[in-house]
Amino acid sequence: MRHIIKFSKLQIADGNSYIQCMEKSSFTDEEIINSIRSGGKSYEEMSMYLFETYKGFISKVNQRLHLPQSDIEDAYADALVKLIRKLRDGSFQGKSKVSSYFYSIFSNVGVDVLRKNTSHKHKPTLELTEYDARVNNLLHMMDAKDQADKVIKLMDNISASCKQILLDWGYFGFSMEEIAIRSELSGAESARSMKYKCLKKLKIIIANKLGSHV
Amino acid sequence: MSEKDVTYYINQADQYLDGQLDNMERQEFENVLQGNTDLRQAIKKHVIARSVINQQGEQELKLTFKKAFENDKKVPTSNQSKSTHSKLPYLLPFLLGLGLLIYGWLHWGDAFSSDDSHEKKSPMLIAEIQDPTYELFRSDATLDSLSTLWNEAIISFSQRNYEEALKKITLIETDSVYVDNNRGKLSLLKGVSLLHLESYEQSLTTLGKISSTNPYYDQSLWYSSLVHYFKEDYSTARTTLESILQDPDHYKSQEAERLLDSFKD
Repeated sequence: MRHIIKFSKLQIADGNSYIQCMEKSSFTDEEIINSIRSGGKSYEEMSMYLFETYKGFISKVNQRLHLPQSDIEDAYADALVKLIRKLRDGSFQGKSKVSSYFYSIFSNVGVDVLRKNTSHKHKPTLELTEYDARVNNLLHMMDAKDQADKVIKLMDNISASCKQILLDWGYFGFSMEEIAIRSELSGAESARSMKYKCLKKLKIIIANKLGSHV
Repeated sequence: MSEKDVTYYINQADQYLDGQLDNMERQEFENVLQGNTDLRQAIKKHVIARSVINQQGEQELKLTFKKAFENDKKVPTSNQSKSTHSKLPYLLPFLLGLGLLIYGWLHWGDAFSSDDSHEKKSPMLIAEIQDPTYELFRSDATLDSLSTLWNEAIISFSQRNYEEALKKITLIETDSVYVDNNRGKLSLLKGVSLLHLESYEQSLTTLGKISSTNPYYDQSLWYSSLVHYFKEDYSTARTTLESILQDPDHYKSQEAERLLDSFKD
């Protein structure tokens, strides 16, 4: 039973392996937010912690919506992504508990899925044009939102190693030292140089796609 | 504008996007962007690139969650496997329940804090107030040492030192009068400690000593269901959980429902 108390292992998605993940059994809202905003490993671990912790809401929300299992799981994953985005970009202002906030997001996403199912519009539930609040702010400021909407899938056009480095840096927030280890590079300087080259490639691909607009 | 300046402002843009600029710095950055077309163009490319990375990152994160669901399904269900790993997704509600129990013990006494003689609230005092028979014993000098032991047991328990908590309870149990008058809380603390130490049969026997008229009976019922669950006697666990659901006011009715739902997966 001690494994309950420590809750030290969480299943992760890359296979059936388990990782040493969280030594603590539960976290305060402040700890959750700080871990998400810290990026890197704590971001990854906290994301999986939230995934496991809020699973109980699935049956609760679905008692009302009666969605197929795959749809409610899809909605749950989307809602978690949204929650994490809002914790990260400061949209969540702590007026409610993180769990209540998540429940509300999940419930709304679930209703969206239900509406789409009812109207037979099988679209992905994640709105691909939803941006992080700060990105959104700058895109609006530079009238670039429409252009950004056109290039959302462009990362598929760069190499897997470049994609990994850019995601580790730009989304997951790993440090250059961590990126060097994860991508088996010689060190932080090498990681920085690779990031620069990969970002340059991405910008070229974006410019090619958008033509003279950027 | 030199390339060095552009690099500087691209770094500023990254800091802006990562939330590392304060209000004043953010405003300055926005003002610079408004007034410089070339810089604005360079930053625009950068921000679009960052937005592409963010979108891809969110897709990857969602994929990770979806894979985790898939893996949950691949892991043998609790009825098919002796593996403890398959239970992990269900463990947090139990943990929260335990946390609430401890929290309750430590804080229920707040309602009684108007008693001026209690200058300093101790966990022991707060917990004892819940037991109506405690006041009767407080006047008995021989029971002071037991009260101290009980206090120590609670502290050990709250520190998750269940072996130590059980040692204290064993000492307390030498006094049958005290035990008879405090059976609910003693059995609960002992039963839950034994549950943590995976002594399931002893835990069940201990929790079973709490009668249905005892105020601690609802906790006893919940923890008994957990014992059955963890000793992999799912049939009895289900029956016990269903009996919890019979009482809509039971403090664990929602958790019981969730756990019962998990059996359906």
